[in-house]
Amino acid sequence: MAIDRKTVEKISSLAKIKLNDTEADEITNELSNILEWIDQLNKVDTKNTPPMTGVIKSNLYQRDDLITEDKKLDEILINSPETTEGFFVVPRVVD
Amino acid sequence: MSLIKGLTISQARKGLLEKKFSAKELVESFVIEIKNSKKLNSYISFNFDSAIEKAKESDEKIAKGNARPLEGIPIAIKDLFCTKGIRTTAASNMLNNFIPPYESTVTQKLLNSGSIFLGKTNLDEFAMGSSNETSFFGPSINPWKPSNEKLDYVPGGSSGGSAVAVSANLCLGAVGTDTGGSIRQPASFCGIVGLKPTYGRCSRWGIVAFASSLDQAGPMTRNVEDAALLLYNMVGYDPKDSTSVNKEVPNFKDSIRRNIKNLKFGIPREYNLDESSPDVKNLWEKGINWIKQGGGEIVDISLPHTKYALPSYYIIAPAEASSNLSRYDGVRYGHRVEGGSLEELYQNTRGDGFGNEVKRRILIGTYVLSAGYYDAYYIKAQKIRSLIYNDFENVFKDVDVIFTPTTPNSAFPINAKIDDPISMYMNDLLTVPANMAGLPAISIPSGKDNKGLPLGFQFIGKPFDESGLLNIASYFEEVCEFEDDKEEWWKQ
Amino acid sequence: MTSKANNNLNWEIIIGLEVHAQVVSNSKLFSGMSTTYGGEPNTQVSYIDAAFPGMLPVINKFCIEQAVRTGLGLKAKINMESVFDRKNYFYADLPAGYQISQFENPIVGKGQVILDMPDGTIREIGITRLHLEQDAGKSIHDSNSANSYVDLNRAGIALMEIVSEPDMRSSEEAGLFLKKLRTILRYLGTCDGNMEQGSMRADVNVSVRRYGEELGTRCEIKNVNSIRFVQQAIEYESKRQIKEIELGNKIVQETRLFDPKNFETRPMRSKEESHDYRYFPDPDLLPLKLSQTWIDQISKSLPELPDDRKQRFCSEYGLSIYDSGLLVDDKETADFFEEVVLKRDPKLVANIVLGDFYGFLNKLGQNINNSRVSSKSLGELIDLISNKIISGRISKEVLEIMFQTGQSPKEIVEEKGLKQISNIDEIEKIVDTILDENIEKVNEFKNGKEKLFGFFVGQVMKKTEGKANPQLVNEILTKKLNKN
Repeated sequence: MAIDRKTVEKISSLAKIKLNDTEADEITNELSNILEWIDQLNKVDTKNTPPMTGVIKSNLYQRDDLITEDKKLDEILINSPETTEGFFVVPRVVD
Repeated sequence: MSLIKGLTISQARKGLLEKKFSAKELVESFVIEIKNSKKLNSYISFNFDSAIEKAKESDEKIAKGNARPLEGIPIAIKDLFCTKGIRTTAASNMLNNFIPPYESTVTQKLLNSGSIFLGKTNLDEFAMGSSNETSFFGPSINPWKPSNEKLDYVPGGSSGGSAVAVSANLCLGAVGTDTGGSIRQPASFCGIVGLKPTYGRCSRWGIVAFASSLDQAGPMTRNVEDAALLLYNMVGYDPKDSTSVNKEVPNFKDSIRRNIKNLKFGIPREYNLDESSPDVKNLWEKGINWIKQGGGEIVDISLPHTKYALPSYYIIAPAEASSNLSRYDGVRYGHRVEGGSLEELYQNTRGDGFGNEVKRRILIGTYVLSAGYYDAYYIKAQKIRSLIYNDFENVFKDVDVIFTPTTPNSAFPINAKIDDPISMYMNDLLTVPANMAGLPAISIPSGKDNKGLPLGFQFIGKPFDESGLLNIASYFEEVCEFEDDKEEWWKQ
Repeated sequence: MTSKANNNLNWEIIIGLEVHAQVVSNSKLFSGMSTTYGGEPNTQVSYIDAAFPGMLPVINKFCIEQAVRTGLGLKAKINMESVFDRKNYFYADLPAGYQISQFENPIVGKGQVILDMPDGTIREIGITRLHLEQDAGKSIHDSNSANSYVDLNRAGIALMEIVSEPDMRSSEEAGLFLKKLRTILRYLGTCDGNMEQGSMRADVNVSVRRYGEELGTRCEIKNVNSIRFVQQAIEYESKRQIKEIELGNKIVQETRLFDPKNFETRPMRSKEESHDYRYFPDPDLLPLKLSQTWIDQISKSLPELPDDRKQRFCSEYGLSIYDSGLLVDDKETADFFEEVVLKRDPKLVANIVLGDFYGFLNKLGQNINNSRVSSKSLGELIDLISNKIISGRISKEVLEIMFQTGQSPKEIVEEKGLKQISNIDEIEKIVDTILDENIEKVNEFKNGKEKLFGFFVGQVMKKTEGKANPQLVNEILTKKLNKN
């Protein structure tokens, strides 16, 4: 399915990826091509087929309710571009 | 150079234990070699000082008779594995300065086995690519190229740097990851062995995630025996990864018997593609004859949904990736481009931090998961995944292994396909189905095409039958007599 | 004003609640980090909680158990297979860019909560579902700064989102529902219900319609953190909607916030982007399959729940529904009552616990666990009353001293000489004195002014500093006043 520039703008906003005009046009084009190619899947009859999320069939492993991690403030903050007094810093957020 | 050229892990181990050379000498030889081979751009980060220190420790252990299974073996790590204290970039501007405070499970196991990390190898950005050209650090370059060729050739991807490092004697072995062929395809392009284990064999903990339901780590080596050795020291159940499988780990090396007598080889007719080069088809034919010579049985099989594997992969992998890569937001680690609001900070950071292919896939993934398209794309792809899985399950009632070429073509020149995403995606046509079904698969160098570039055979096995694959691969390794005759044109 | 009130009679308010209840557990839902409240910023954050590259979630078995336990307590259907999904959106306090939650296949399905209305009737409020999800971190906004500050200590703590049917029709019902739900969660030990610490929060869905009409457009008031605020928000929001409709305007479906300073709701400023959360099954986790055996085990371990306990208090102790209800509302009070009531008069115990005892607790700002009066010593006090060692009136004085000093009631009675006077001769003497001193009033009484009886009782009590056995005083006074 071909997609339009408006859709690309919507999804780039959902994905929080800034695209300039040229990029947005290019991507619209590329995505349209890719999606058209993907559309061959419509030829497959999947009416009675269940979707498959993953191949592992075992039960979900459940850990015991133990505290196995200790404080690691320095390690948590060390790679951050901006911190202060133990907090990560971001531009002011309004509710 | 004479020390390490063509050296395998098992030979190196023998040499170390017999004190023919020390681990320090071994590491230092590789350091020199790597420094002389910068043209190949196979490493993103070096770990030389630490490697030499580790080598000294290994020498002490060997002297005391306490050598661990991979004691003093210098290897290379795809820069997608988080390594404690060593920069881990995923070949992205986004993680250009990220130094993990933790060690991935697989690399921890490799450290515990005594191996030594020479550095972190190049890859496609966030493992998204089939040519290594999407790396923020520039492409790694295939040491193979046609003679008298001016152009550089791609090593394949995404584990291109690892494949190059192994192929060009810049390490004894390497680890890669394989989401849609990212170990096997570059192994094939670079004339080495690459194995993608069964999904769940290797822990994914600490590996930068691309597509969680498909990603699997695996070894890339010079020969099959080395693949078995390396694999054995990577795998194992990990309660930190809920998709890791608690399964007994056989000693893979012991399964190598170079004997395929009475084994049933499925030849899937759907893998005979129009797109495949005549050389690939001819070699495949040759392989079928080798099966007969070895006493194996040929079974014509059909995997009817094969052609849908790739397009459904390009829904599932981007969908998961779009979510997995949401954490790169410039707040807790990684690249950040300031903005007047949080929204702008996100948009700027992610717009600048990700390269084109990554953006493309995030956007596809976002689209196929978004309201109104979820059923038509994502659920549809998951249903087709079921069909692909069932295809394999049915076939494995009748055969022991499936035999195919690894790729439709040999390596291509850099920039040849970069502007055409779909033709680039076609590289993974033959490798993706094994990922969709979670099956183990191995690629071994099987011959060369008319340009003198390596080609690979792929064997796809039953779940958790890596042993069977390694045995079969070892037989073919012997009969193919793949000759590493490339010139070392890249040396400075 | 009157016309407005009249109008309101024509309007039906429809309320549904989504309650986020923090699960009581040692460690977080998907990491082994502690859940303790109130740590220094980012000190209770693991690499998983902060969504570092390559980190993977591993589920906490006890949190699953807590969700199942809650489901059983809400008489709900437990789903043998449920799925964890990713809810994708970007926010400063959501490190992974997605929240692990449950969308199409929650762990618990339909259930119910029963409300006892003040008029003695019963209301059943349906529970739509309960699912497990991760809590987010906290952003702190400093109005003097261009920045917000992110603390991820809370990120990853297990939450149960409990969704009610739109079955409530007034702020009062919503309040009762939240109180009842909180009581049930506390009985089960699955959530501490501390709204002021944020361990229980509610999203309130409000719409209005004229009786008999179709459902109106609803607004969601997010993250209200006290029962009172929930009620105030509903009051304001329903009035606002009625006013809008009466003015001929349409209600816009939107997310609003409650401002507790001005008792009003306002639209959220940050528009939550078109709500396209792109839910899909988390590929890092497998479907959660439960075994019936395990569910049965949990079911057997359930405590007696408030509704059952209330019934038992009525039948076993002969208490009124009202008193039973008050006692069981708070599990600790009910437990305390049952400790005291052993071999004692249930009605007397209930009166003292709900009366004087609670009176002092509230006055002193203490709670049942940290007060100086244990169930044992309160029992001793009640024994003193039952054995007529002290009068009920004196008991209050003794209790007050018990709260102040922690002394045993016997000690206090001994020390202060508060023992009841039960010696007939002694009381007769005092009665005689009182009657002699008030000869005029005696005559008035004999001439028919019978309400003076109380006056005489009071005088005797005054003289004995309240220590005279009231029953004996009554008997003796009756006898003497009716002589001749």
